[in-house]
Amino acid sequence: MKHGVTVIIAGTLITAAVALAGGLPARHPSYVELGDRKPVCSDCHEDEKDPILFKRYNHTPLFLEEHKRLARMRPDVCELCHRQESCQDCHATRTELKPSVKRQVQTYKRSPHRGDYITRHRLDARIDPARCYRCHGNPRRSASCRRCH
Amino acid sequence: MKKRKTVPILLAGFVAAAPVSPATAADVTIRSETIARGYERDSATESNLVALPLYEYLSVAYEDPEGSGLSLHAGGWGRKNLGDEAVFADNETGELLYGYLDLRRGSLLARVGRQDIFSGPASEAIDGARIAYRWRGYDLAGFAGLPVALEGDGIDGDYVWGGRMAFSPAAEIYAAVSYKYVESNGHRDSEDAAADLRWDLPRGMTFTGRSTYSLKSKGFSGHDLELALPLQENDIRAGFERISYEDFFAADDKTAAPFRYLKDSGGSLNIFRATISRGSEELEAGAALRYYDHSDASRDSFYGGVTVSWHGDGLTQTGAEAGRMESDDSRNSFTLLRLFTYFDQLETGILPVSLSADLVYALYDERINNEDYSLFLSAGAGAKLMQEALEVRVSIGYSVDPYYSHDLTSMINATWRWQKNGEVEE
Ligand code: HEC
Ligand code: HEC
Ligand code: HEC
Ligand code: HEC
Ligand code: HEC
Repeated sequence: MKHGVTVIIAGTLITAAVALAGGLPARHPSYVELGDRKPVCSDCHEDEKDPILFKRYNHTPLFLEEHKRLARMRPDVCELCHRQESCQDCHATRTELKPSVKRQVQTYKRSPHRGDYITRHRLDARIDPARCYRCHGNPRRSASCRRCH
Repeated sequence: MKKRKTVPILLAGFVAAAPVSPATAADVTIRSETIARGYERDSATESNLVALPLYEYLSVAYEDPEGSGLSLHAGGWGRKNLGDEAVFADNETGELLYGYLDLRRGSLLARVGRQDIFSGPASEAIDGARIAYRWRGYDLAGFAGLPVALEGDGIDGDYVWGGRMAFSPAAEIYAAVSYKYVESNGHRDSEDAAADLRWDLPRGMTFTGRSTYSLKSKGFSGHDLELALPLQENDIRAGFERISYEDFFAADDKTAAPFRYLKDSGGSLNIFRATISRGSEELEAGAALRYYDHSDASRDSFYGGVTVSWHGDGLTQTGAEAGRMESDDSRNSFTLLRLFTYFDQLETGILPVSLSADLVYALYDERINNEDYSLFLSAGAGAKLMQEALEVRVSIGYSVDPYYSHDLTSMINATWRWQKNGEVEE
């Protein structure tokens, strides 16, 4: 491995000390009927901080824009409730249907690329192409772009 | 190096080795979503071709009820076009999206097979293994495998590996370092290291920060900082993001065409953002402001948007979203409006029916193909049958836009869910 990384990792190993908060169960109790509505964790867990700061995981109205920060840091929390299946509608770019088409009837779900995205995508993409790159960055994840690009 | 074949074989081996409990004790979930669509398209040579694609999205999960911590998950999709084949040309017709065996024992998680990795700088599907372990206050995770998305380009010997180590030097701090290496075509495709930090501040405020460094181009590819402050029912956030194109994008044949030139453009983008949102049983609302400060000043842009929705019983909801992108380059300026409604489980006398409608309208400051707007409308209905095991939805979509002067699509969607020995869970 690269020198720099080794140094970073060794450095952090030395500075780290205290134990993390306790472990999580493998699954959120399934007797809790969460339904299809985005959960507000603090409605049930209130201000509790152990084993996690529940409030932080509230699925807020803008959760679509915000979930990435939590997903990268604590994937174990997401896995309490979500199997990989729940992320596929939007993250599986190697399929043909965009999320808003696949769930056209479920208008209550926020989905990226709503409406005529073929026209609008160039405006979004010129302004912030990095946002698109994670999902469409390589040839296989952009099969649907090939007919024009 | 012979690859590709190894993982399915490995996986098959694991499947075979998985303890086969008596069927009565098994906890199995099968979900099948069948989608039939119909519309017309023009190809380069012919017009009014009929597309009648039939999609199947299938997923299965098996969890060992004996509490061994073992579970198996698989999902994929496939398409058969019953109309003119030219519409889809040589698109892929299906794929295994994920298929993995999970083992949880105490603080150990091991996952083998095709899976998505979202960890540190990694955000990809691999055919391989991931192990996560909590050890004396450290969250350790490592993964290695073959990158699924690079597959199929006729080049062998690609692989990816990486890891993440998180720790908590004090109760209010959670910090991590992570790493990812991608080998492609026999050379280093990318190599990134990242550090992230979450810091709980007084008054319920949280600071989140993340920086990613490209060891290949020797520069920071991005920074992302956010301060979240809850104020009564409100969730207020302020953030800053920076992306350096040279270090963030790649510029080789493994990069999708529209992004290939970005690396060499040497641009950079700073995004300043502020959002506020609040949710209650009846009302959800959010507002966002974003300022895009581009190194190419003609792309500087300002975005403001609001979203509101009212909730009724169950999933009943009516909402509106409006946004305005104001860019120094008027080609990128537009106004967006969305109105939607959903009525959950309306009593009709025979069976409860859900109804929905959607409108998305975009107005462009500069004409595109001589049109200055796109209008999309959809209407749909759904009903649950067979004790809610089957849900059928029908919908139509209609679009008037710069690409399709009038485009009508229809869709039938049947979702069937079968569970054994378990409550429905998400
Ligand atoms: C409808 C109420 C409800 C909602 C909403 C809800 N939970 Fe729970 N949760 C429960 C119940 C009940 C339990 C089991 C009792 C307990 O351990 O507190 C539980 C348990 C948990 C546990 C295990 C606690 C422990 O001490 O082992 C975690 C972690 C958890 N929930 C996280 C979340 C997160 C994160 C969210 C939001 C995304 C959430 N919950 C939303 C009701 C809820
Ligand atoms: C306590 C259970 C629970 C936890 C923990 C949880 N979620 Fe959710 N999440 C749900 C439910 C229930 C929904 C609404 C149903 C749905 O859309 O899947 C939802 C919805 C979502 C959606 C919107 C889905 C859509 O299709 O519109 C995203 C994105 C999401 N969750 C991501 C995450 C991420 C990332 C994490 C981890 C940081 C997480 N969730 C943790 C239960 C949970
Ligand atoms: C409703 C669609 C939707 C669902 C469902 C969804 N995401 Fe996302 N996700 C998005 C969008 C859109 C972005 C880009 C957000 C942005 O950059 O503003 C994103 C970005 C991300 C990112 C950062 C980008 C990347 O690829 O590194 C991660 C990580 C992520 N999502 C994880 C998850 C996980 C885990 C789940 C399942 C629990 C999930 N998402 C479900 C829409 C979705
Ligand atoms: C969370 C992942 C995700 C992100 C982020 C994302 N997309 Fe997509 N996109 C998808 C999926 C999934 C599809 C549908 C499957 C496909 O076409 O591969 C899609 C489809 C598309 C389509 C085809 C739409 C159509 O009507 O056929 C375009 C164009 C597109 N995306 C452009 C973009 C642009 C531009 C961005 C950045 C502003 C972006 N996408 C960001 C997941 C994403
Ligand atoms: C129907 C044709 C079509 C499809 C399909 C399509 N695009 Fe585009 N795209 C365009 C056009 C036209 C432009 C504007 C080109 C220009 O600016 O000159 C564009 C511009 C872009 C840009 C901005 C380039 C720049 O100028 O900076 C990106 C990035 C992009 N598209 C990504 C995608 C992605 C990713 C997909 C697939 C998910 C996709 N496009 C699918 C037609 C298409």
